[in-house]
Amino acid sequence: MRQAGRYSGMLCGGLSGRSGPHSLPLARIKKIMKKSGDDVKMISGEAPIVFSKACELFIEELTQRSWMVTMQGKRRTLHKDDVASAVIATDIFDFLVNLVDNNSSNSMDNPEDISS
Amino acid sequence: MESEKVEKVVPEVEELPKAIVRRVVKDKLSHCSTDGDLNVHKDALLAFSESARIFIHYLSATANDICKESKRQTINANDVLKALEEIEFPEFVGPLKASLDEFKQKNVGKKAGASETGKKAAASDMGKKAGASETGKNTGESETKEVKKKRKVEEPSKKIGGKSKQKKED
Repeated sequence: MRQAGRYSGMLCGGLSGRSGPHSLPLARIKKIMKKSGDDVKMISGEAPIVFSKACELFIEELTQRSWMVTMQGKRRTLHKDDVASAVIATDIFDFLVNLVDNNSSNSMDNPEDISS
Repeated sequence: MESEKVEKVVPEVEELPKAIVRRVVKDKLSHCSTDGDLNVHKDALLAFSESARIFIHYLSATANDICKESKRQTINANDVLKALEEIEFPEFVGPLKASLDEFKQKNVGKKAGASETGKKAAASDMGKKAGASETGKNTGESETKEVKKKRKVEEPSKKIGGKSKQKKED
């Protein structure tokens, strides 16, 4: 089990250069993971790899849904509000609702626009 | 949850690299829209980046719970895959497994190379461990204790340069 530490160190060193499918930096993913909870202590070498790919897939999913909102509004530029609408419209994005709330309260003065 | 806005301005917030988020978004959009290029506003990119970060948090916390339920301390890839199903992203599991398998195959070669160069002690320990495990297949704790003892004995002798206690157990 202790090999996990060396393993991940190896991975970070090896993958910081050029490697194919893993675009998001594993070290940063690990840092974010550790901040998700005080009791997140040990992470295997493989976990950040899965996270990296999962993040890509997630961003793609969110992008697609946001794009659909943009297209419905017959616009050519994808705005933050489109992302917010996509989040609200999709059940599995419920965990992002707080983020959307913060954004909408900062940027938009008239929340009634969304509801119409 | 009232009018108080608790703004957590934490300078240590780790964000994902913007360039990579932008690339993922643009790649996806070029697949989606055949009409022409769709532009992405800066704020939207920030929103994507932030969303991904929160997704990592959420997935980590779930994976951590799963890991704890199995009474382990190290979050592994399987925990993450199970967590994805729990948070209702089961469609990710398939492609992720494929990606992971690819990576494992690549890594087997690297790992073999590294162990030959640097870790002879570990290899010898592994050999002894294998021998011990064949004889008595009980808990691994006793084996690890023996390994620990051996290491403790070996290290000081290496540092000082050969004291009286040099145990060569073969």
